[in-house]
Amino acid sequence: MVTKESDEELVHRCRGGDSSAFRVLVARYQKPLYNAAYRVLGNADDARDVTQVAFMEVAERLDGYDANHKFFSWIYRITLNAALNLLRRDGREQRLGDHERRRPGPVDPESRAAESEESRRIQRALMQMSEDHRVVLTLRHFSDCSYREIGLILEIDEKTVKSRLFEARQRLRELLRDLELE
Amino acid sequence: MDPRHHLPLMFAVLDSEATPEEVRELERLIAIDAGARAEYEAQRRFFARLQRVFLLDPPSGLADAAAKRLQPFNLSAKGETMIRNVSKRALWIGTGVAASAVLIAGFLLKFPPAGENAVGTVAPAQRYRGEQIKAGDVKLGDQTVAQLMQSDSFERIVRDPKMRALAQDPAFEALARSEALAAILRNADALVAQAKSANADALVARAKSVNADALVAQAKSLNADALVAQAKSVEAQKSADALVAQAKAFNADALVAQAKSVDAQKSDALVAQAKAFNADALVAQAKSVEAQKSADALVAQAKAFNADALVAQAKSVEAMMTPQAWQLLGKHTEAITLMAHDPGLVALATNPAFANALAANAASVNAVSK
Repeated sequence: MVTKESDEELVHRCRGGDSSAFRVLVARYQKPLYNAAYRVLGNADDARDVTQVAFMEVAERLDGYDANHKFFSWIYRITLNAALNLLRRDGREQRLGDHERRRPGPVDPESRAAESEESRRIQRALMQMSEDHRVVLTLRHFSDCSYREIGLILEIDEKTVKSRLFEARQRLRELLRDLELE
Repeated sequence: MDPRHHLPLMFAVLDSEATPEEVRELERLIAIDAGARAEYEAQRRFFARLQRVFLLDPPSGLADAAAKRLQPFNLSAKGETMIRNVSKRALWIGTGVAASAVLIAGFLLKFPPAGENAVGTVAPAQRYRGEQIKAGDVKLGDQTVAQLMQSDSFERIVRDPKMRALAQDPAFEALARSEALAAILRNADALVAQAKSANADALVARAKSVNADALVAQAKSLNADALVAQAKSVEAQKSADALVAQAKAFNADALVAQAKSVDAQKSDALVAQAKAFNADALVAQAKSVEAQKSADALVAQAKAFNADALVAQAKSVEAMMTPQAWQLLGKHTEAITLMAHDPGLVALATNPAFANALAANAASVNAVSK
């Protein structure tokens, strides 16, 4: 589903009772939210559940959404909060993903296998990090959010975003040292 | 100088967040400093590796599943708000009355009588003709049942077309005759206590097996603040019985006390109702709401659950709920909602004597209904 309508325009239509507008929002955000949830949770089933819950939360709370804020930061915040709450409740930080699907990429099997292994190792390293570090790395490297966007989502200033990213990258590099030696 | 001293600048450039001046500064630096150049190259490779991490495709059906739960948006904004409010209240009250849908099914299955002889025979008095019951058919031994059968609420329910449609569903009949249901009704507290000892993973697996995975996830994502907020919202609706039900679901004495303070005069009745609250009713409600594709109702119900409630739910699912029962409850959401808003039916559903008598005399009750 391709549309050039802004999030805010779609939200406005949703509030007017237009279900098709919500479907557009779901189509637009399901993949980035699912991936963000997966990187934080490390589990595909949990990521799916959290993404669904996030959409339901959005639907539930849309009337109270403050249009002065970016919709994308709001929905990301809902998703990440749901993911973190799930983690804290179940203590599943160490759990690794049970499957990953490839995005279009190298076609030869060896390249795919290597990429898959690297992806898994990165995920394993992520799951050994603190939640703060994992979240900020997820938003920057796997959701392509800017410092400002990360700040909006996490409700922290850009200076804090930078310092947190700095620490997180240092830590991740330590954990991935074996990867870098390859 | 340690090249890592320049990491903030390198990160800014690699993140595309650097100003033109900062970019030029880094270019000058790596042109003259081999150590900085090596560090920058290492960081660039590190970024590139992260960039290659798979972008996963969401599970097929995720969008559909989300959209399914958002059907209230088909309504006008005003109507949607109304439905949401109704749903929330129905959820709470429904926990006490959904079971009654099962209980009274035996009465409704064959009522009003079908066939030629039934034409025009809608006078309530004819439903309970003594001559239709043979001696020995009924072993009630409890006047409560008879009294409740003669109540306005009972009459209203059995005359309602939606309720009759619900009752005429074969799956509903099977559910109403379930021995497991009778056991649950006779000893709901013990069932809940037993359920609390269940393994959490098993609970999640069970809940997922009944297609309530999103519900489980949401329940798991709840924190105390959300639960308190929910309690407050229920209080705002002046729904003391809902608070009690919620308190039971949370197993929190403080919430019970809060519920009693909302309506002190009715506290005993409310507590009785809360005790009658059982997990299978919640499950039935969840499925009906799911069929109704009402996202807000699902969210509200999820908020009502904590792990204990979900365990109880799983247990009750295991004990009695069949796929046919799910489908049936999903098909008759209007009838369920109707009951949820009938104070008389609430009283019926939460009257232990009524429930116990029905459970102990299922065959006789069916005979009466015929």
